[in-house]
Amino acid sequence: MYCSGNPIIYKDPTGHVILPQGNDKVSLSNTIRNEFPNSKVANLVADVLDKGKAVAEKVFGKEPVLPMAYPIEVAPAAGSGLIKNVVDKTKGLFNKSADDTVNASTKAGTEVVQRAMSKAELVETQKTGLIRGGKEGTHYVSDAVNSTANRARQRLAIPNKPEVRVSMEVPEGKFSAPSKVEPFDVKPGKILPGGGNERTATGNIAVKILDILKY
Amino acid sequence: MKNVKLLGHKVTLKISDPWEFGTECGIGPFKGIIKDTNIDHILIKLENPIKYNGKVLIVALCRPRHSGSKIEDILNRIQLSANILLLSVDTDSISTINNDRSINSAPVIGTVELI
Repeated sequence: MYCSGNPIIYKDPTGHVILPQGNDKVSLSNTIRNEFPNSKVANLVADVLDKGKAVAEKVFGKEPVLPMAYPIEVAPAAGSGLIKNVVDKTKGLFNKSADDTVNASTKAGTEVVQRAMSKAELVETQKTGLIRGGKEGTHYVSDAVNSTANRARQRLAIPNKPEVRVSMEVPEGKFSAPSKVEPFDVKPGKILPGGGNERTATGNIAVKILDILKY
Repeated sequence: MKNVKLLGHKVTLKISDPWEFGTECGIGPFKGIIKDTNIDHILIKLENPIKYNGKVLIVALCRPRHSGSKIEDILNRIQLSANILLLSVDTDSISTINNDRSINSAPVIGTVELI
């Protein structure tokens, strides 16, 4: 069927590849991040989609030519439909058991957490091999931190805009169960909404850095 | 609504984030006294002002950082994770702070604990 029966939203100039109409696109990866902000698997999938798109653009140029049933980007007119589609079709994929599977694939006795931080903190973490560079105080981490700096700041109510998101392997059982972050008055009259989940711990905690995402 | 049980208690603050705060000022403990409360905030007057990022910060407006925590939890000798707004205004009243964007401030994350 031509363009899955929807020629207003999609185009198919070659007869082999369904492409979105128009230039302004809604991103599938961001839709997944927004719909499943606390799922580690959802955030990993969204990161992979972004990387896949970057590779495709390097090889084929800006015009997406990947043959696919569900395009990586769609025109704004299809945005609400895409979101509903993503939620309907991926609910079961991004549940707790999916995150448990990812956690089980890490080294026994360890787990993976993420922290949004400054580059200066990252340097100290790399230098010392300790969370927050071995500074005293309470350590705040999350199972899945958003991959955009502003969104991470809003959801985790972080005082400053973070510069990097770091995935770290840490000993299992050191961090508390996740708690929802409350709103934060970061200035008189200005509130960050919170709503993300984070875990806490104290004391020196050895970390192995697995991945660094520059915001 | 004021929680009179909290007023006048001495507390300490320890600051974890931003990470750079610890580099400039140390993590504390910073001592202070509870001067005012409302339903989910306490206002702490610091014993010694904190100099951070070119600002002199005199009071701390704190609220619990996590859902399910209450500001009164500190009365049970709990170290409470808190969203803390350090302010350069010298005041004993939360109402003088609300929405006054001219006040110098620094948001930080830390813990509050009774002495």
